[in-house]
Amino acid sequence: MIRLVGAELDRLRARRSFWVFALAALLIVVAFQTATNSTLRPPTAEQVASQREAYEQTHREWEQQCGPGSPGAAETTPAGDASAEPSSGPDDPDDYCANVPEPQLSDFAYGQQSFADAARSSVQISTLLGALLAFLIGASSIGAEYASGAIGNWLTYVPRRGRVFAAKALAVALATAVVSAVLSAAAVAGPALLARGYDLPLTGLGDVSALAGRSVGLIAMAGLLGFCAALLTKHTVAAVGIALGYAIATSVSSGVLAFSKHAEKVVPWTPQANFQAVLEHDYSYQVIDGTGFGEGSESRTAVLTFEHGLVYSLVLLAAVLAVSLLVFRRRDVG
Amino acid sequence: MSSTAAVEIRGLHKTYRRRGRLRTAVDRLDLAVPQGGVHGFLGPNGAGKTTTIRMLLGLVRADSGRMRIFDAEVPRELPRVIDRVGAIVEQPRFFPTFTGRKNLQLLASAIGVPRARVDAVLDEVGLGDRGRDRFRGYSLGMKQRLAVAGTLLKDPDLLIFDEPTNGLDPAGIHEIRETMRGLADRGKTVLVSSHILAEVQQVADTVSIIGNGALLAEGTVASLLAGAGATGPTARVWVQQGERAAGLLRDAGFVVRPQPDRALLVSRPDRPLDPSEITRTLAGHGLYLSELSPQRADLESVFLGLTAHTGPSAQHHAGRGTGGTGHPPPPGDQPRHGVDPHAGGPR
Repeated sequence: MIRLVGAELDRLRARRSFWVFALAALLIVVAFQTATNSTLRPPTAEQVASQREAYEQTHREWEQQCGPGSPGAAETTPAGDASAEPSSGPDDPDDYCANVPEPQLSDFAYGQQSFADAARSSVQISTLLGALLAFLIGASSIGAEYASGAIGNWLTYVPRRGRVFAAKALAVALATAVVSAVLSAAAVAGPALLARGYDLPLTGLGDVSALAGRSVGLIAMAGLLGFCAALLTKHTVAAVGIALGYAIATSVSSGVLAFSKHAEKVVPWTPQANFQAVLEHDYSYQVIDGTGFGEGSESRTAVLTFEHGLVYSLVLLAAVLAVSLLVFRRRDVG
Repeated sequence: MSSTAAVEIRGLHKTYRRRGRLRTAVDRLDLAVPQGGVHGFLGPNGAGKTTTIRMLLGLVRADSGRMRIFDAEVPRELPRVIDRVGAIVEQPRFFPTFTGRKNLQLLASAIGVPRARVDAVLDEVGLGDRGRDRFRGYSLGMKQRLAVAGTLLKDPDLLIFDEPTNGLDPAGIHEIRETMRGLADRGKTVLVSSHILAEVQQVADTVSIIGNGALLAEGTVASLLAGAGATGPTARVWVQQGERAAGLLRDAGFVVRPQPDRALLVSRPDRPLDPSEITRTLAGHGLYLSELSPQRADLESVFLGLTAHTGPSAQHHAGRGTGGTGHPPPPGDQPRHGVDPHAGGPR
């Protein structure tokens, strides 16, 4: 078995497409760090001056409306009071000043992101890219064998189909795990190095590292799903079609469920939500009670737990692998 | 089933469903391949040869029947004997973007053969200096040679070649023939399937002929040729006055079969044919030959004779063989002139 896995890893490593996909993803992750840099960088002098100018402009307008001696002065809401009712507009100075707090300089802050937030964004991007890449690697590895007919030749040398399947699946999982580890490491290291450069503390590094670790597992899973999709369809392109179809269906269903009172029943059973729950270690989503629109409807937050997501993902993966193995064992080749 | 045959098949059956209709690919086939020597597995395109080989190698599931390779029930026990079997099924299938050497290295790794063996087999088939070229750049002959090299990686006792000369030029065909003969002379068993009967006749020791998925005849090449509908050599004769010549020859004790082109096939039922007798007999009556050519029976004529009765009657004969005569066995308990697994060996 080890011998078989070694041969499969050797074959994956020798495939040019493997390196092309991996390098492309790595380059994109690295390129993404330019965006990370802009969020971690402290504001420039021009940006600070611009902030102050905007603050002073807004504060002047507010003072004219609601400052001491102005028409709405008696109804002024203290600064930072978030419990105010929504304003009916500046046409009614009494309601406006009651609902709009005094502007503060911090309201116009440039928004230098923390390391943790920047790294989380980076890891999320690398996870998405890595999953796509892993799916392609897994799909093309077996799709190429069917396309060339080499799978038939291989089975005349190694007729134990169960072992052949396991070796190929394991090789895909290992190879994609290694690639995803590199991607995740780059996704964390990039923001960490940039934050250090700007003297920002690496607060939350442990959480981000755990996120990266979960990302590696999800990416390897995507590789296995791609492998199974191409094995079942005997075509790399057909497997990619399945992935595209899933992506479209997810987008459409997300939009529909966002305004549906059935979201709480449906969302916990969608693959996307469960993958998010694993990655983010709990996934929050909005549920609309009531009619879903306008008056009488309320929005609240529901949580899909990490444990639910993990069990769901593992069961899904096991089911797909089992079906693929059954088909592979029984299918006529050639 | 006998334990001395390299390959034994009993009652093998396989059907496919195409466009809602059931098509029989292999029809209760019985087959025995003796150990040692070259065994030709012959039949026209679509006869079921490749399907049979695929079932032997576990690539296709049989509907029913039993198969054994070196006394191991296959495909259930195929992993136990796979190290003793090398096979090329139809076109050689390797990874096109990998070099020939890389393709064989992957196989060697998978089956636990030292990588040094790869260079040895590449040299053996004459691809030593082309091993670093990509497979997709190989000619058809080179691809076949690489496939042969692959089968030799583990030095198997049984080699199965399915249509190995397809698409090859005469030099390539000759090379494959020499390779098969060389392997058989080293004590290996070579099972070669082909629809080019004349090619296989040159190298095979024993043959099985199938048609429409069923066995039509099997035996040594010599026995099949001997039972090809004539007791001895035949001569093809062309005379201007064909009908008169036929009558004169029959009166002289010859067996005469007129042909569509007005030629006559002449033979002797009682003794070997001497062509000079034909000349003397006709010349004595003032008839002179325009053509006199000895005809040698070959597997192609045997096969054509066997498949002349296509349809239900040929299906009836399937699986029971024809005793190497091309005709169904007479009523009663007649033994089939099949292959004796104990008697196989090189010519």
